[in-house]
Amino acid sequence: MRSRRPHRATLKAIAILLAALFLFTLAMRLHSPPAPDSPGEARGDGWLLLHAFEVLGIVVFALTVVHARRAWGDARVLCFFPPVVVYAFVFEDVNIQLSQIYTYNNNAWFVVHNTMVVVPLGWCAIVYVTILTLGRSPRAAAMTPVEKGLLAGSMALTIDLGIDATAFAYGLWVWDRGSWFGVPMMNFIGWFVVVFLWVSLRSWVEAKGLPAGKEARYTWGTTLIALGAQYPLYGAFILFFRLWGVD
Amino acid sequence: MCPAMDLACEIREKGLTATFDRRWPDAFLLGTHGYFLMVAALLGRVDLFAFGVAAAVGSWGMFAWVRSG
Repeated sequence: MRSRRPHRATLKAIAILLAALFLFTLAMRLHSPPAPDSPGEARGDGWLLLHAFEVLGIVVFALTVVHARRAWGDARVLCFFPPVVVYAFVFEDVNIQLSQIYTYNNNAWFVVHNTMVVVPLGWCAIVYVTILTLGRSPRAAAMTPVEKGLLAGSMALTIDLGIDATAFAYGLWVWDRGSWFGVPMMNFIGWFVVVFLWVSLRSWVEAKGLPAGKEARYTWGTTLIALGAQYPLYGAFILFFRLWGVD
Repeated sequence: MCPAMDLACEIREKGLTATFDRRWPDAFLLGTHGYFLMVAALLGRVDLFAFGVAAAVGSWGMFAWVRSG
């Protein structure tokens, strides 16, 4: 009978994540780095780095799909990419409208409704590399879907920690307020929650070993669940951090 | 060893296609963090560059830790 105790690697991952969050919030309480000057104003470079980011991001997404076709085959790619792309676009667009605290640079070339296309596509590529890495990992092989989701959320968060503040500083997007170099904590919470939810549910579907057609239907169903479930979970995290006085 | 040099060596030894199949997550991490470190450097933001390096090391380390075991 399979043990219901959390895998040791998961406990370590959670401990690392909690320690990082604790240090992060402690650092915020001790010192708030200043927001950059005038993000979003004209830079005099024709927004070269914005457009390069857009084009390169779309190329990277295309390469990600090519890689997935070679690694997984077309059936599994069709079970994965359409739902995750829809998930990414919907949550991003809804979050912009609900939160009203950030917008994308209005000089971007590729925009769908309120959303710069490269951002949800980049998010999908990040989810793919985390799922691929977990799938190839002996350490993750014995983990439950929730444990994989926690680990995937942590892995995705480490990527966003390195890029969001710089993206804001240049003006790829604009936050109204934020404690960490102008980026609010809720951004990082959001990254963790959306990846955790989608990967946990996707891992649950994969573990069932369903035929391709049924797997696709289950994946679409769990995508809808993830879209609904993220808001209460997200709200709980934000409340927790606001009690600490961190925005 | 520098991740970029590591990837370059593997491409030279095993070819681009084999390296792409095996090491796409590493190339993705390298490219993503590398691009934003370049932006931070072009902005002259030493603080963002330093933080970006720390985050890239942490990210790379976390992925490596997950792969190991």
